Amino acid sequence: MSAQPPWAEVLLRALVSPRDRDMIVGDLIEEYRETVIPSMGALRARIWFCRQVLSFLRWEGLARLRSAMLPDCFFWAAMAAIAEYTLLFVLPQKTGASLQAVVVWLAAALLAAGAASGIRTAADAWLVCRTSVLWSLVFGFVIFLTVRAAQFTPVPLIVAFLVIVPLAGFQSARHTGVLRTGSAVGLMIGTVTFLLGTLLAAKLRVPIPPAYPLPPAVAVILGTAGAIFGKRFA
Amino acid sequence: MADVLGTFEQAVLLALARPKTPLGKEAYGRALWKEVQLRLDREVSAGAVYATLDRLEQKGFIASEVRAGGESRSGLPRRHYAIQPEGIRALNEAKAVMEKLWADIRRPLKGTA
Repeated sequence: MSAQPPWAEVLLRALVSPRDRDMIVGDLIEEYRETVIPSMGALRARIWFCRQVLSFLRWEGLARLRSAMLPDCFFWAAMAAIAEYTLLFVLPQKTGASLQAVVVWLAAALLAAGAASGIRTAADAWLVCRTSVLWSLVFGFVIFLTVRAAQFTPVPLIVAFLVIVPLAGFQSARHTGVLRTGSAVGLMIGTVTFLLGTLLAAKLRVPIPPAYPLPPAVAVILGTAGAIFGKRFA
Repeated sequence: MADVLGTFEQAVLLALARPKTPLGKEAYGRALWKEVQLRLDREVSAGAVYATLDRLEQKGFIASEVRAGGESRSGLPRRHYAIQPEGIRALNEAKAVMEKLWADIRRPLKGTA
């Protein structure tokens, strides 16, 4: 009798919860042996088995796979080391960006990653991304208009920021009923603002202002404030 | 009122409550998987069925217990499921919602889409 692909069984074991691991593997093997091989033949049966294993590739399954492949502390330490090396040494050398700007980018990226890790379901994560992209585009448009204006003044940018971020937080929490989605949206828009601001500063050839790292932090507060109201209408 | 059950959740709960095949009556993972495919009349992935079973168990609509498995599955155990009173209530509620939704509407619907 043709056996199921061993690598697929290993992958399946990594994808499902330890509580159900033996039962799910057993069910698939039973179906594979009793029904699929006799009706499909060896090759198609192996493809069927792989297809079923891939059907477990979901949000939770991928998280389990990651924790099964690498111990958490080792994984994060290695990722942090690579990110730090790239941002502090490689990026300034390649792009000519100042070290100060790169350190601030790193802080913003860490904040954004922290907010993203607070989102537990795929539906919430998708909503956060969609809302952030939508409002970031609106904000980008405001930046475009401001830069194109005959005389540059940052007032429209600040006003737009103070209106857009709480609105985005309100919208996300109204849909999900979860406060942290508002914080995450705020943080993502804040990070985008921050990166767009860096580009703007480079384009206008002005030095980065000392308060420049603030947008992500302010945005998370504004997003959360918007979410407090949005949650009431969920 | 709590969230109404989705079609797939209803199919899984009905497979448990009223199995159509002798295998379905055994009410373990693979049996329910096949029963759901039979009810929906289409191929269904294993991942979708087990994710739904997991969710229904967390909601308290079904309960499970582990029993020993046979040689056909390399001696691996089986998880047997049973529908709970909350599950029956949720099914009845879902049916009532659908009937209310379609009340006074003549089927099939006519007109341009």
